Amino acid sequence: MAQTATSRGDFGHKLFIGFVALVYVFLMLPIVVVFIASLNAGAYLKFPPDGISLRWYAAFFDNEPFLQAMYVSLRVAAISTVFSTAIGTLAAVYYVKFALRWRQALRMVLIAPMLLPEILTAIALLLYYYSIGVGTKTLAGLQIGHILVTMPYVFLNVTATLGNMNPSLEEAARSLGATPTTAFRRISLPLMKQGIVNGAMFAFIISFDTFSISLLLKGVDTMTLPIQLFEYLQWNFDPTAAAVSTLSIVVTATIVLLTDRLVGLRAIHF
Amino acid sequence: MSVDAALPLSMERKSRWPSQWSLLVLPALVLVIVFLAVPYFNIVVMSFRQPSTTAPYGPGFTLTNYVKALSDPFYLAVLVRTLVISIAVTALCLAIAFPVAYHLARTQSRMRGLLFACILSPLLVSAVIRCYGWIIILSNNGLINAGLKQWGLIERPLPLMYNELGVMIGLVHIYLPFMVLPLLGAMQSINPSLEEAAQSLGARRLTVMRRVVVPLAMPGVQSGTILVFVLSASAYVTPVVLGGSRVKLMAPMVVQQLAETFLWPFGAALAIVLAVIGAVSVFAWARATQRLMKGEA
Amino acid sequence: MTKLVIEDLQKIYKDRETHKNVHAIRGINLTIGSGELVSLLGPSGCGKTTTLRCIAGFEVPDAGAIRFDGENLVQRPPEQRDIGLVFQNYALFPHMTVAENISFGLQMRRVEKSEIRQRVSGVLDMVQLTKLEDRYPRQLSGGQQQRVALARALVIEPRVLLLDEPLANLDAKLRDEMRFFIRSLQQRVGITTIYVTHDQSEAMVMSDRVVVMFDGIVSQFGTPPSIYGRPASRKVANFVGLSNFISGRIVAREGETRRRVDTPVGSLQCLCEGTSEPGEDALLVLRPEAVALSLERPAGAVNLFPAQVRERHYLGHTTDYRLACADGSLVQVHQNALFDARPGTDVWCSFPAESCWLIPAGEASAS
Repeated sequence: MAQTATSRGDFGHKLFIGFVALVYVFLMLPIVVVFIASLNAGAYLKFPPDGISLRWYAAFFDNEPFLQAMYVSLRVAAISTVFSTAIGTLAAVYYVKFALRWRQALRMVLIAPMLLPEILTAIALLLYYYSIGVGTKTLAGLQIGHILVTMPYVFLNVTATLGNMNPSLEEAARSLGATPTTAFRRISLPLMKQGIVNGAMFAFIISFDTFSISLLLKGVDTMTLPIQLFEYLQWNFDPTAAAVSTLSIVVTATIVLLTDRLVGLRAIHF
Repeated sequence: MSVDAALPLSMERKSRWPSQWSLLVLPALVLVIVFLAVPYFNIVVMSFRQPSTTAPYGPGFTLTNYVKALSDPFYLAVLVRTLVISIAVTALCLAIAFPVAYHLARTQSRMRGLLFACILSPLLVSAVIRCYGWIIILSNNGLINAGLKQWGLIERPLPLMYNELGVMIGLVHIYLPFMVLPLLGAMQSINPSLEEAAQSLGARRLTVMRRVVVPLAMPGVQSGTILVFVLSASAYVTPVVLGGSRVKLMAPMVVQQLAETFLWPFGAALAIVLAVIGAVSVFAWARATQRLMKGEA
Repeated sequence: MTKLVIEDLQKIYKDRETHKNVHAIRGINLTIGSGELVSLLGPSGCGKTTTLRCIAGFEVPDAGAIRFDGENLVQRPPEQRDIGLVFQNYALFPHMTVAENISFGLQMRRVEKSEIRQRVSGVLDMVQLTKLEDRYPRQLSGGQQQRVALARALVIEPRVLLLDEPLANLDAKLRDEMRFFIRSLQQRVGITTIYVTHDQSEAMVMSDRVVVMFDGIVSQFGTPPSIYGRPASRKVANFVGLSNFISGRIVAREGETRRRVDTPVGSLQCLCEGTSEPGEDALLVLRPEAVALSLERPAGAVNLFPAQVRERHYLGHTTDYRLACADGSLVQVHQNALFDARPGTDVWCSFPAESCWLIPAGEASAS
C-alpha cells in the first residue's frame, strides 16, 4: 500500500513540478526572447537570429527620438520618485501615528490611484487638464500624473514598515528620557529607511515603465520611452526596438540592484 | 494590531481635531483629491455633455451618450467581448497561478529567492516590451511558427497574433504575477501542519488540496481574481499591440474615441459604463466569495 | 532611593470590539518603600501590566495618584519621570550597538561623552557583558539581550526600575539564572523596583513583597511567606502553589490566632488572622508538602485523619499522592521518596496547626 502510494505520488509530483517549471519558462520567455533578438545581426525580426551583433544598440544611440525618450523617461521617473517618496512618507507617518477616526477611509483614498485602472485615471486627467484650461500636452501635467500613480506604492511600503516596527522601541526611548519627537527621529526614522528606499525604488520603476498616463498626456517633446517604443512598433519591426527594450530592462534592473546594495530588499510590502 | 499600538501618548490628552500633525498628510490628500477625485467627477460630468465635431464637446447636457453606449450593438459587442475575455483570462490565471503559488509557498529549495524574483521580474518590465516579446514569439515568422515549419509540422503559419488568442496569451502573461502574489500570501499563512494532519487522517494529496488548501486560500483567490479581472477589463497596451485593429476591446475603444475621433462625451460615457460594469461584477463576486470564506471559517 | 505610593488608581478601557467599558484597574492602593523589590503577580488580564504602564506614564489613569517621594507624577509624560523600563521583548534598538543602546539614556540627559563612556563600561561590568559593547542586538542571545536591556535601564540611575515580565521569553534554565542575577543586582544597587510577572515561583524567589492581583484589584499585599502560608482568599491560595481545601465550621477559639474547626475529615486545629469567630463557616488551606504520611497512627499529632492511597506519581525529588479521605474527598500530598505506599494502602495524615491556615468564609468563594 505504502509503495503504490509513493510511486503514484512520485509521478504526480513530477507532473506538478514539470508544470510549475513550464510556467516559469512562460513567464521569462518574452523577456529572454527580446534580449536575444536585440543581438540579431540580421535586419528582420526572425528566429533563429542570423548572427550576433551589437549594431542595434549602436542604432539606438543614433536614433534621436529614442535618445530623447530615454532622457525624458529617466528625468520624469527621477522627479516622480523624489516627490512621491516625500509625499507618501509624510502621509504614511501621519496614518500610522496620528490618524484615529476615518482611518480606513483615509487609507482607501490614498491608495485609490493604485486601485483604479490606470487607463481610467489617464482619461480622467486628459479631460481634466483640458477642462481647466492648462492643456493636455504639458510636461508638468504628465509629471503630476506620474507622481499620482506612484505615491500609493511609497505610502504602502512605509506604512507596512512602520506598522511592523516593535512599538516598544519608541516607548523604550521615551522611558530613557526622549521626547516623542526625539524618539521618532532617533529610533523610528532610521528603521524606516529601508521601507522608504524600497518604496522609492518602486516609484521609480513604476514611473519609468508606466504606459497609459504617458500615452494620453504625451506632448511633442514629452514622450517617454514606452510610448516611443509603442509608436516605433506600429511601423517598424527591426531589432532596434529589441535593443531599446533591453536597455530599458537594464535601467530597471540596475535600480533594483542599487536598492539591494543600499538597504536590501527585505522590506517589500503591498 | 501593531499599527494601532504605535499611537503616541499625546492622543490620550489632546483630542482636538485637526491637530498640527494633519499637515503631514495634506500634500498626499491634495494630490489625490485635486488630481484624482475631481478629474473622475469631471469624467462623469463629461459623459453627460453634448458631443460635437468641432470641439471636444458642445454646449448643454444630454443622455444620448449613454443611450448610444448601451444600445448600439457594436459597442455592446465590444463590452461583452471585453468581459468574456477578462473572465477567461482571470480563470486561466487562477488555474495556472494556483500550483505555482503553492509550490513557492511550500518549497524548501535554495532557489526560493530566485523563483520569487522570477515571479516579480516581469513586473519590472514595461508592458510594451513584454508584448513586443510576444510579437517575436507569436508572429507568422516568429519563434513558434518558424520552429514548427522547420520541423515540418505545419505548412502555413498558425495565426497566433492579431486575434483573441494572442491577446489572451499576452494578458495572461502580464497579469499572472498579480494572481500569484495574493495566492502566495494566503498560502504562506496556511499552517503546513494542517495539510500534514489531513494526510495523517488518510486524505490523498489532491483531496488535501481540495478540502484544506483551497478553502483556506480563498482570501488570496478573492483578491487575486478581482485584481486580474479589473486589470484585464481595462487593459490597453496588450490588446492594441497583440490584437491590432481586429480585436476591439473597451479600453482601446475609449481611447480611440478620445484621442482620435475627439468624441469626448461619448468616450467618457463608454469609460463610465466600463467602470460601472466592472465595479458591479467585482462587488457581486466579492459577496459570493465572501460567503464561501465565511462558511469555511 | 525612592518611595513609591499609588493612591486609588483607576483605569477604564473601551474594548475595541465589543465597545463595552473594561475596568482594567479598580482602585489600587500600594506603598512601596525605598529599595524594595515588589512583584505584581496575577493571571493575564488582572491589570498588573496596566498598573506598570501607568507608573511608567504610557497610560494615563482615569483617577488616582502616583507619587514618587510624595510628588504626584500622573500629569507628567514618561520621558520626565526618571524611570528605567525593561520590556518583555527587550526593545533594544536594532540599529545601534550595545554601547550605543546603553548610552542612549545618558545622551538624553546630556551627560559628557567621557562620563558616558565610563558609566557604560561600568554597567557592562555589572551585567558581565564587557566584551560585547560593539555588537548589535541581533548578534546576541536572548539572555544577553535581556542583560543589555537591564544595563540600559540602570545606567541612568533612575528613581524607580520597572520590569514587565522580562524573563518570559527565555527558556526555563536561563530564567532561573536570570532571576537570581536580577535580584542580586537590584539589591546591590538598592533601587526601588516593580516587577510584573504571572509566574508565582518567580515572584516568591525575587520579591521583598508581593502584590497578588485579580480583576483589577489587589487581593493581597505581603511578604512571600505570608502570601504562601497565610493566603487572604481561596483565589490567592489557588494561584500561589498547590492547595488542598477543606471546608468546615469553627467550633471554638483556642488562642488569639488558633481555632478548632469541624470538618468532614475530622476535628482540626488551625491558625487564622484572629478575626474569625466560632459559628462561622471557614475554608482551610493545607499545602501538599505540609502533610506527613505514616502507616502507623502517629502519637501526639495535633491534626490527624485516615485516608487511602488512590494514586501515586513519582516526580523525582518528591512523590505525589492522591488520597481518598473518609468522606470520599481527595487530598494531594507530597512526600519524599523515603516513604513509599502503593495505591490501596491505608495511611495516616498528620500535620501541625501552623500548616493549616483558615480563610474566612467571605473570602472563600472561588470566583
